[in-house]
Amino acid sequence: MKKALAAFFLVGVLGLAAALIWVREKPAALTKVAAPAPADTNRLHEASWYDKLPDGMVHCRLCPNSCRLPEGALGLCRARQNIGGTLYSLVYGQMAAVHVDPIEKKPFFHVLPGGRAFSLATSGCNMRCLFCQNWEISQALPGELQTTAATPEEVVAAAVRSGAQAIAFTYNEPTIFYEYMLDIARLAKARGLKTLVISNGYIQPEPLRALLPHIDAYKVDFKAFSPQFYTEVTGGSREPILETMKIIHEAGVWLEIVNLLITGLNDSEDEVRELARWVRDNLGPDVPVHFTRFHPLYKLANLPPTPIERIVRARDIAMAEGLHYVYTGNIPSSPGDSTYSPQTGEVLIRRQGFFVLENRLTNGVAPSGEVIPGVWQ
Amino acid sequence: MVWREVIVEPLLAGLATGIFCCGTCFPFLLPIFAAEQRTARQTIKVWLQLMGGRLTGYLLMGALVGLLGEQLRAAWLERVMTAGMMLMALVLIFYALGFRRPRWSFCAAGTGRAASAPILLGLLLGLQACPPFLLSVAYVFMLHSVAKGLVYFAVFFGATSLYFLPLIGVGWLGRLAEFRWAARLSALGVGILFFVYGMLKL
Repeated sequence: MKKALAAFFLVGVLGLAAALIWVREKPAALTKVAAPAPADTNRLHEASWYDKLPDGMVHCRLCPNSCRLPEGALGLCRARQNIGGTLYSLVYGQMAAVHVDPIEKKPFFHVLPGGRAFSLATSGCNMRCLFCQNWEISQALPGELQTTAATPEEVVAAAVRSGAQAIAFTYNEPTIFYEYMLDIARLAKARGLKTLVISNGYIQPEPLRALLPHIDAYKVDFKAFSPQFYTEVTGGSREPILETMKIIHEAGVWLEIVNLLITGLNDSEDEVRELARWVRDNLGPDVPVHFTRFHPLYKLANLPPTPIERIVRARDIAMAEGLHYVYTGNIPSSPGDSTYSPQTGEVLIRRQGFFVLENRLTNGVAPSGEVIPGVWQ
Repeated sequence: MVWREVIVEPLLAGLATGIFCCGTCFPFLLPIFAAEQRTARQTIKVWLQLMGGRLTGYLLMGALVGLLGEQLRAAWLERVMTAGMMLMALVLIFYALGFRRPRWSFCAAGTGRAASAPILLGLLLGLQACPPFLLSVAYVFMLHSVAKGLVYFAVFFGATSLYFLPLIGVGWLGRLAEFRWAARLSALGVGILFFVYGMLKL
């Protein structure tokens, strides 16, 4: 009996070792299956902004994550993959979400007030914000979501049919579907549509500069002025985003900034003041800043909603620092919904939430003759 | 938030994936525990030696990943790990043969025993790329910090080590001559199997 059990032990251990070797070899076989066959790569879109490296590796230069990917690996964005030493976009032409939204929902408050934007997204993101509002698509892998295939031509045709005045690249981070966005934007501009990017700003300067001539307005979702917050809560870093905002502004593309305030994490008065001063000194007082209220979501579902008075106080601080257009968001019926004349303080665009109740501007000019900056026609 | 990144997450990851660690390490560890007649105290000592070696391997790899970061090439890493696996196989072979010819036993000079084999084996196991380990490496890349990487691997090690506790029970089998013989044979077999596998891979 003991001998039989000992023999069983011997066979078991050797079997386990053989199984381990088999398992080690199996991933390679699986990789071959997972990587699209040559016929499939013909349907994929080769990515831009990358370098080929020795050993079949690639270096993606699209965003500051600067991924160096071995054969078969996905980028941190989960949207770009090294297949056979070539970097492909896995999300080109694959819409994960599409809606026609009020432009104010983006939020853009100085772009075609009352207009509508044909809004689209793919899956993936180059950050991993713990408070992400669209984490179902931003943190998904290609193939995990049901997507709708659409060429850039089909997207633009659908946008025109919808009656929207603009196409918005939104919901997830558009940088990660850069090639798709660029192709759509070129066609959209030719058809007279405005192009709007709703982004976290985490993009390298070179691809950003190449994109900007095709974009009318850029909204940067600035997460916090604290570099530590960026590292710990978003997985990104602050400096490249400050640089992005400067480049957009210098290029003459309309820029609006959103700062989601999460109580206890990034809503201190000092941090709000620092942000306002930075915007004033580097971009000028006319760049709109939106302070929006956090609601518990995703991995920060345990936190309370930010108190409304913190949002209102942030607006007061930024206005006191000299910013002309400071808005509040995600709070009901606030004075911070509307646009006021910096000269007279009178209401120029009265809003309730996303909806424009009254617009006293004519092509961006107030009845008094004061010119309000923005994209108005 | 740091405590969550480097304490809670590796703890949960270790508990969730530790069973895979066993799959990777047990072919090497089971023979070690059953090959000698030991008291419970001696078995626990061997377990601690193995875990100590494994922790050292984890921390070395954590520091390496943290230091080299993006410069770390997958092809180099694979070669280093294959070489480590072959070394591990050799340790096992020498360990097995050491019972028949004490003078051949690994690190046996002066003692006539394979006393240091568990530590070295643990160290080499700690450097092996099992799936949970690779999962941790990918996560540590995102922490952008060597110090955080080390803490992460230490906590991850602690959580996965819970799955190795049953090995202490396996030590009881070493009291039976039949199992000692089977364990030595299996140590030799596993060693040869992985050495040949490593040769083919290199």
